Amino acid sequence: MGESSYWTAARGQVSRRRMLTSMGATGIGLAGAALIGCGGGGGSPQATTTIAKSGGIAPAPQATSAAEKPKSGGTFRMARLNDPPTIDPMGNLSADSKSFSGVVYSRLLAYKAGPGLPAINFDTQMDAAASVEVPDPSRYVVKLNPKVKFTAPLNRAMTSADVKYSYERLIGKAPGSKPGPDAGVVEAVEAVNTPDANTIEFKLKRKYGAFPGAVLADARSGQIVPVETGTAFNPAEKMIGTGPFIFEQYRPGALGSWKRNPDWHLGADKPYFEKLEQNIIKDQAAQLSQFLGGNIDVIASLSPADIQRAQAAIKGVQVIENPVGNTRYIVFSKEDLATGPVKDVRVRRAISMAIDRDQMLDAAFDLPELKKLGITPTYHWDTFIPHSHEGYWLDPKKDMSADNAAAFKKNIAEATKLLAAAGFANGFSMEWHWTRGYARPYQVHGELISQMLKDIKIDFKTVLDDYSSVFIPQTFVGKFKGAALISYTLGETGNFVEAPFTPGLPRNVSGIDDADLNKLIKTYSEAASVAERQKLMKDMQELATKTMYYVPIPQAPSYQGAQPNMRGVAEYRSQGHAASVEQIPWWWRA
Amino acid sequence: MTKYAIRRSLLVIPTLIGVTMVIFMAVRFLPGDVIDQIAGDFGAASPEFRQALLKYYSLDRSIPQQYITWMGDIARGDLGTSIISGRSVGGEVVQRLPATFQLGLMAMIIGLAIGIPVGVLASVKQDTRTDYVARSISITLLAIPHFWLALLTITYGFILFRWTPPIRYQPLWVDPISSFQTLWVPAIILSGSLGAIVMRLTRSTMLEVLRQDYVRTARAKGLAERLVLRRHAARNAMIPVVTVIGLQVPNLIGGTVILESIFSIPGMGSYLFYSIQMRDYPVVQGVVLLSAFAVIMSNLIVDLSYSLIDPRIRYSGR
Repeated sequence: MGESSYWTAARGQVSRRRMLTSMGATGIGLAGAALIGCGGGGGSPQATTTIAKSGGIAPAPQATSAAEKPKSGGTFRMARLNDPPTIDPMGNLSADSKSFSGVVYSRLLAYKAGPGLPAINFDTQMDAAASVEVPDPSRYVVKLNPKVKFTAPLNRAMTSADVKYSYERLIGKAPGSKPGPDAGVVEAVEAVNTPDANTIEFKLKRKYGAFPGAVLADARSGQIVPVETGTAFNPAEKMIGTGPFIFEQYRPGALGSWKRNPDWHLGADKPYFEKLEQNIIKDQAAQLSQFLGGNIDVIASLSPADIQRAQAAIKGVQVIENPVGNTRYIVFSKEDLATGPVKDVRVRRAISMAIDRDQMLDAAFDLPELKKLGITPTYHWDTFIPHSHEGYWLDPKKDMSADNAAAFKKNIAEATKLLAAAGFANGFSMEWHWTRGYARPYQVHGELISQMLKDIKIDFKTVLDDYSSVFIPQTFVGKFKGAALISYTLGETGNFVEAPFTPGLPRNVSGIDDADLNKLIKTYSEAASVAERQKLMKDMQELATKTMYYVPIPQAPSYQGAQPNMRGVAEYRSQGHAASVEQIPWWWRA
Repeated sequence: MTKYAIRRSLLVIPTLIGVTMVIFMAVRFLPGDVIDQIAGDFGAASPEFRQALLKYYSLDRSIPQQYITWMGDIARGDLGTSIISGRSVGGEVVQRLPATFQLGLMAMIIGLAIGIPVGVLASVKQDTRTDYVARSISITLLAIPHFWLALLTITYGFILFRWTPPIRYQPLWVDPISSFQTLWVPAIILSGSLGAIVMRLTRSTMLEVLRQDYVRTARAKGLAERLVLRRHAARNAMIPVVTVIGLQVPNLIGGTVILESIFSIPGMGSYLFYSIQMRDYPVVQGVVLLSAFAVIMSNLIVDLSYSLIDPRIRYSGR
């Protein structure tokens, strides 16, 4: 199957919904995190460094990808900063686990990726499915592609029983399975029925317009394991799937390796690489050294200094921008939001107005240094969704209503007035929880926010939470006093408002229960058309800004590097869990 | 001597049992637990979900029950299964131990090969330029953190020599050359502090021994200085040195976490470090138990070696 035919051959294209599955909390786009690539350097160096912008569109000098004919063969060698906690896709929340298994286990749907498409893209196309029918917005009927086959030793076609088993294993209902940490992603599913071996009916508890992209394509909920899992093989030690690569071995702390699946249902000529190796290199400096030495093909999370070194050492190195895919908020504890100073919306808006968002971006993401290197990063003021969700995001500088736009601009005088009007002319103090467990930009934000709030006499008393023992089990789920700095890595656009604002959901750490917001969220969830959802999401951002239960903190993109001879890296990107299927099979080495 | 060796060896058993109790309780006293790490926010918000996970992993049973089960498994040679990865702890240790052992051994050999002769030399040349240089270098090596030296090596290794370490460690029996290529640099870095400690201790004990009457007597007998140093002085000076070498074993096992990360060595240090972060009880218990066993055994060997080094020490009659 030709390259162009992959996406176009699939029948029954489902809702073209923009979605994001999670990005690493480290600030690395999963495209990068999953594909911190490696490979043999060499190739013909180009004269200059090429910078691919957000959106996956390579600039003119890199247009070689489109002009050249893909070459098959070779080993694509990646590096990862972390071992996957487990290679069982249902065993852990970790994005490392999902992307490690994502090249082996197919999903019913995949995210659309390719030239001209943005990296954060929730449009879906067929993967293991042949079609998706929607008799009504609470019922989805999926037909399987008969070409989808489990590799040896199973050597059989995927059936609806595998899909049902995978769902039951995810929620801990399959024999011998434990409750899966990602069970919440499929909370909307009431039943999975299998009328025949080739058909699966998902019966939902409610109308859910985003279901295909939010559940079927999301690697947290979408990876399909065979019914023999746990009996024919131990999923913690082996993977047998239907995806583009066949698992060979995993040596924790050292290496995971795969070979291409010659019978992959999405194209006999893909993956182009014969082998895939993911080396575990836990130190960024060591990864950079290996990249500079040409021993790995792609590297994520390049700082400006790293980019400078790469540009000096590798002629024609490709620097690729990974757009922001997560949100960051100042959140308040349930108690404080109910009875403390921040109960008053004027106080919350005053806090937002004390934040200098541009300064925060510059300091946390070294934007001036990047600009000195000739790179113009794509960044904006994120609201309650990342600015990279094109069509959904409302620009506070241009598109937002004047009153709400004012809440995003630094205005100490107005903030002071608001505080005085709320009865806090002399300010107040509260605990300020954050952690050293995240990457540098997060920590810079943690430090800067408390400094900036001093301008309006609010004393955020820093409490540094231990990441493993305090932040994740307590602060992240709302068990804290005062305020906290939290980053959310969520699925498609709707998740960004559903999760933190819906009463009873775990990420609603502040216990928000606002009738207007609830109504909007419900309407959004049920909306079937993209245009309708885009409009509703903009309304949602206006309302969320007006109430300012959370104070959004903006973020800037990260950068990954690719060797000059790598092709397709900038074009085939998809920032989401298990983006691997959308990426590596389409990459090749010139 | 034999009696002492047997008695001393038997003492290992109650020590190990005590260690198992300490390890088992200590890991459970850490704030947070493994269920917090795997349940995620959905799990944290749902007591039923959490309870189901506790039951699945038998963590809902009483601490004594869990301890007895673990001890039963240990007695059968089963270190358990990682809650986080689902993989056998024993299998993982078998994969990782050779790298840690090889790195530690190489570091030890390099450290001793440099530390002992330089220490002896510094003592013989006391208060000369040689002594000053040796002492200065040893203090510098003690002061420099391993991770800093490692990062400098990685960074400037490429800038100056276009050198990068092999991308991944290969076990000695799979590819000996690649194995040494991966480990020689971290082994040298790790040996720095060990060699410095040994050098300083060797120097001070040698100085002490060289002032003893029997050394003066040996010299008065007309023995060659080399013989005096080797047979009479160095051998006696080695007793505290050997003790310190034994005490360095845990450092070599546990002190390699950062070097393992920087040089991509799949060793025990990084495994233990990650498992502690994740509160992965079976792994932490298993690895710490093995480390404790190694330390106990190294101490036993050190104790038994005293009599070999110094013939005056005779335990058998006691």
